[in-house]
Amino acid sequence: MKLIFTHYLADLKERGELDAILPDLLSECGMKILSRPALGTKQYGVDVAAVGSSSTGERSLFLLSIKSGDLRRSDWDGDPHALRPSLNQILDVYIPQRIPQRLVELPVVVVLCLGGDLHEDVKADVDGFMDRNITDRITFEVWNGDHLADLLLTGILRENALPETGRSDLRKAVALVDETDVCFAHFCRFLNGVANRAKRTRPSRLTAIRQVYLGLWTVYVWARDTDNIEGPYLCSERALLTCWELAKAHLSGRSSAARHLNESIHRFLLLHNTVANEFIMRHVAPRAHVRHGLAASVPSHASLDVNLKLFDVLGRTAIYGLWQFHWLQLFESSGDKDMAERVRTNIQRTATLMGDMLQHNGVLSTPIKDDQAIDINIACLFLNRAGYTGVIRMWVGEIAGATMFAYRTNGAYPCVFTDYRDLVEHPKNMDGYRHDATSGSLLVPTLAVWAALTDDTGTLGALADFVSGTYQHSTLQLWFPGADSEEHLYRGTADHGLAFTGFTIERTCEAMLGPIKSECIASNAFWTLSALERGVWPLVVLASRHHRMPVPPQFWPIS
Amino acid sequence: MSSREVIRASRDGGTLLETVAATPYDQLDEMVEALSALHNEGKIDLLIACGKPGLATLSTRSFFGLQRVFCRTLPRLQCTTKDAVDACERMFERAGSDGAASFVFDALVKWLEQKPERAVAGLELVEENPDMSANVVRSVLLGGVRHDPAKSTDDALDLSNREQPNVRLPALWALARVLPDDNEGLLVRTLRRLTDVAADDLSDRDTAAAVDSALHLYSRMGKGIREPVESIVTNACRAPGPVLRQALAHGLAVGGTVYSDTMIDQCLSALGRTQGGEAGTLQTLDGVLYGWDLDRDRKRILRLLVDLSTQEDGTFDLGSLDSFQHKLREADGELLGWYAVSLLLTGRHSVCDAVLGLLPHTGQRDGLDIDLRPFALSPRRVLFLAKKILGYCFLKKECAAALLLSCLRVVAAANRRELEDLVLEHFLMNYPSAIDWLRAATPRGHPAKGSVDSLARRLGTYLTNLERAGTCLAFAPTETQRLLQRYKFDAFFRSVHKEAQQGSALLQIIPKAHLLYGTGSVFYAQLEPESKPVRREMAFSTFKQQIEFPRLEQLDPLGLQRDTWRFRAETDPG
Repeated sequence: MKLIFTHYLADLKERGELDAILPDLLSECGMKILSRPALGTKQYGVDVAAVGSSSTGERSLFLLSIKSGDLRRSDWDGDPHALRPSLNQILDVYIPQRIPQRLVELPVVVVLCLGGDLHEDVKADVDGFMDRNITDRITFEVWNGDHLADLLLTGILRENALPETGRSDLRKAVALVDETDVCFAHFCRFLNGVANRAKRTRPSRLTAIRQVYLGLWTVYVWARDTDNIEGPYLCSERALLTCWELAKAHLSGRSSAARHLNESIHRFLLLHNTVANEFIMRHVAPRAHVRHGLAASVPSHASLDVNLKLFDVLGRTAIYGLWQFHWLQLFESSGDKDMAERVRTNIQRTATLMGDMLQHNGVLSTPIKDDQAIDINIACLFLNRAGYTGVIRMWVGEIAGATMFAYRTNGAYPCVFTDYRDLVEHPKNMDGYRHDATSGSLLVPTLAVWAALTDDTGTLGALADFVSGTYQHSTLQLWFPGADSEEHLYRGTADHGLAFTGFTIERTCEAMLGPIKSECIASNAFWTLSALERGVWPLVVLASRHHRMPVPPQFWPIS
Repeated sequence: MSSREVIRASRDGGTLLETVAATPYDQLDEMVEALSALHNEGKIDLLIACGKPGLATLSTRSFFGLQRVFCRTLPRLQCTTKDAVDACERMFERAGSDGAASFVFDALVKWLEQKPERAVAGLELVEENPDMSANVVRSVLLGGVRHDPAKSTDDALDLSNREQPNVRLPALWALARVLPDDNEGLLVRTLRRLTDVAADDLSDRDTAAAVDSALHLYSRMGKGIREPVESIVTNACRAPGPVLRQALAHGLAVGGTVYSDTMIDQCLSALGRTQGGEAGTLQTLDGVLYGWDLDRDRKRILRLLVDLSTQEDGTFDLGSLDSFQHKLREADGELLGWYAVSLLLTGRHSVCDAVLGLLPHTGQRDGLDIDLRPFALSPRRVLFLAKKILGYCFLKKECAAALLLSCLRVVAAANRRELEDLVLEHFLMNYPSAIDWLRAATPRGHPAKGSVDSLARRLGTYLTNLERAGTCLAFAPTETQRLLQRYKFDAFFRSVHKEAQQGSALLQIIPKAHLLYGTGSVFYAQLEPESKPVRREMAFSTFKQQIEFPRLEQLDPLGLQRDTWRFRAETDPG
C-alpha cells in the first residue's frame, strides 16, 4: 500500500495536486491549517502553513514549501521556481513579517515537502543550507514521498478510519486501473465501505470524504501513466455523487466543520473537473475534428460498441460543458473576471468540440437504445446554453429521421433494452419483438421537445405522424423528480420520481410544450433537491447521466 | 433358366411384376420377347397383372423398372384397344407426378400405329367416354396418323370443337402434329381454327394449346405460313396467362431459332409478364436465354429483364435465370457493363435490384469500366448512375469500383467534384483498398486519371488522420462485452459455415472426414480391381478467403443503410 502511495505522491504535480491534498493530509494528522495554497505564486515561499505537534511533541508552526517529484540540483537553485529561493523568502520575509501575532512565540519548522525524493547530488547543498540557517527557534525538516506516504497511512487512511478491506479494494482498483470495469468495481466497494462506515457526524463525514478524495486522486494519478482515464472518470462521477450524499445534510451552518465540508466538496468538484478535463482533452479532443476519428478509435469491430461509447462520450463532454457554466456563475459572482473569461473560452471550445463530434461521427445521429436520450438531452442543454441552437435543430432532425427510418426498415432502431446481452441481439426478427423493444420511449418526446424549442415544425410533424402511425403502441414518457428523489438521486439506490405520460406529439411548438410546461410548474420536488438548493445544479444532471435516469424537464428552457 | 421360365415361375410365385421390374438392362430384349410371346400365347396376361393392386405393391424404383419393360412390350401385345388404354391409364396414375409418367402413352401411340382399326377403336372409345384423359385423346390422334393423316386431322379438327377440355385441348395440340404436309385445304382449315381460338377470349389453356400448335406448325412448314402464325401469336399474346407463357417458353426452347423476329418479340413480350412463381416457365426461359447471343440480342434481352423485374407481384428473382446469369458473368466485361448500366439507368428498384445478381462475386472485373459515351448521358444522369451504382452494386466492391470509374471517365468538369465526393464518401471510405485498383486501372492519359489521383490524395489524408488519431484504450468495451461479441461472432460464423456446407454440391457427393491431428494424411488406395492397395500420402492444404467489409458497417451502420436507401430512391433527372 505504501508503495502505491509513494508512487502516487511522486507523480503528483505541484500546483493543484500535491498542494491540494496536503492540507487534508495535515488536518487528518491533527494539525490546524492556517493557510492553503492560493492560485498563482506562493506566499513568500510558503505553500501551506499549519500548527501542530513537532516530532518532539512541542506545539510548532509548520511552514511547508512544496516541490513536486524529486528534488534535483536544477530544482534546488538557479531558477525562479527552485526551492532555495522559496526557503530564502520564508527566512527573509515570512518568518520576520508574516507570521500572525498570536503565533510568533511558537517554534518554527520549515518543511521542504517533496512528492518524490531528495537526490544525492543535491543532498549536501540542502544539508548545508539547513545547517547554516538552523536556530533555536527555526528548525528544518525534509518530508519526502516516503514520509508523506507514512503520514497518509497513519492519518487519513489510518487503520481505525479505513479497515484493511477498504485498503485492499483501493489497492485493487489502482492495480487494475487499466481494466476499467474491474477498477470501477473495486473502487465502488472501497467507496461504499467508506460511505457505510461514516457516522452521521460532520467530522466523520469529513474524514470519509477526504479518504474518498485521496483514493480518487490515487487512482487518477496511476491511470495517467497508462494513458487511460476511463476508470478514474467513472470513479470520479460515482465518488462525487457519493460524497455529496454524505455531505449534503451537513453543509449548512457557520461551524468550522461545516466550512471544512464545503471546502472538501468544492475541492472534489475541482478534482472531478480535472479528471473530466483530462479525459476530454486527452481522449476526445484530439480525435473529434477528424472524420470518423472518434468512431474509429473505439477498439472493437462491433458497431454496437462504437455506438454505445460515442453516446457515452458525448454525454460526458456535454456535462463537462454544463459544469463550466457552473464555474462561470461562481467566478462571475465572485468578480474574478480573468477566470470567468477563461471559463467562457473553455465553454466555446467545448461547444466547438461537440460540434466537431457531431459533424464527423454520423453514428451520433443513430441512437440504438432509448436511454441515450439522456445523453442527447444533456448535449442539447449544453449546446443551447452555449448558443448553438442551429446545431441542435439540425442534429435533432437527423436523429428523428434516423430513428423513424431504422424503425420502419427494422434496422438498429432505439430500443428500451439496456442490458448489453439484449443489445447484442438487437434487432431480432421475431413476432412481436419490435413492439416489445419499443414499448416505451423517452427519446421520441425528448426529440420532439427539442424540435419544438428550436422551432423545427418539420421534424415535429414527422414525429407526430410517426407516433400516431406505426409507433402508436409505444408509451411516450418524460420523468419528473418526486418526493423520494432526493433520497435516491445521487447514489442511485432505487428507482424514484414520477413518470409523466398521457401527452402526445403535437404539430405546433406551443401545443407540444404546453403540457410539459404545466407539469414543470406543478412539480415541486425538483426545486427541493439539495444540489439545486446549494447551487450545484449540474450535480443533478450528472446523477441523471451516471445512474441512467432522465434529466428533469425543469432544465429545459421552456418558461 | 430362360426368361420364359423365369416369368412363369414368378407368375406362379405371385412375384411377376417384381421380377419383370428387376430385369437387367442387357436382358431387356429377351425379357420383352418372352413377355410378349407368353402374353400373346395366353400363358400370362400382362395387362391384368398390371392392375392397380399389383402396381400398388411395387416400390417407386421397381415401378419405373417395370414401366421401362412395359413400354417396350406393349407395342407387341395382342389385346383390345380398351385393355391397352386402361393399362396405360393405370400405369400413368401409378407414376404420379414424375416427368417420365407419360412415357406409357408413347408406347400406346406405337401400339395404335400397328393397325388402322386400333386408332378407329380408340376414337370410338373417346366418343363413348367424354371423360377420357387428354393423354389418351392425344395418343389416339397421333396413333392414326401413320395410316390416314388427313382423317386424323379431320378428327382433330372435330374434337377441337368439343366442349370437354380434356378432349378439346389435346385435339388442338395434335393439329400441328397430325396435319399432312401436302394438304392445302386442311392447312387452311387448321390455321383458321387456331386463329379463331387465339382470337377468342377462351381459356388460357386453349390459347396455349393453339399457340403451341401454331408455332409447331411453323417449325414444320416454315415461312410459308409466317403471317397467319404471327397473327395467331400476336393475338394470343395480348393477355397471356401462365399456361400460354409456359407454351411460349417451350416453343422458343425447341423451335425458337426458326421464329421470325415478330414471333420472338411477341413471345418475349408475353414472357416478360412471367411471375416469380412460374418456376417451370422461368427454367425454360433460362435455357432459352443461355442459348442466345447475349451481345447480338442485348436489347431484346434487356427489355425482357426489365419486364420481368417490373412485374406487379414483385416476386421475380434474377437468380431463377441462373444459367443466363452464369453466361453473362463469364462474358466480356464490356457486355456485362452494358447490361448493368442499362438496368441501373432504368432507375426502377426491382430492375436495379437485379443487377447485383448479374455481377461476379469476387475478384477484379477487367473491362467493366465501360465507355458510357454511347449512352449519351447528361451530366446529372452520370451522377444519377453513380448513385445507383452505390445503391445497388455497393456490396461487390470490384464491380462497383469499375462501374464508378466509367462514370469518372465521362463526368462533366462542373460535376466532377460532386462525383468525386460521392465516390470518396460513400465508396472509398468503406473500401480503402479499392483505390489501388482504381489507380492500376487508370494509366497515364486515362480520362479519369486526374480524378483518381485526387481521390487517392484525399483518401490518403483521411486515412493518415485516422491513423494519427489511433485507437483509444479508454473507449474499449469491457471484458464481458468483448466476450459476448466474440460469442455472437463465433455463432454467426458457425451458422454461415453450416449453411455453406448444406449448400455445397461437393459435400453432397463426397463423404466428409474430420481429421483432428496432423499436417497430412496417409491412406491405402486400390488403384485397379484385384490389385494390392498402394500407400498414398497427401499433405493438407489451407484455403483462405479474405473479404473487406464496408468500414461504415462498423462506424456508422445505420448511416450507411440510410445513404444506400437514399441512393436507391434517387429519381431520374431526365
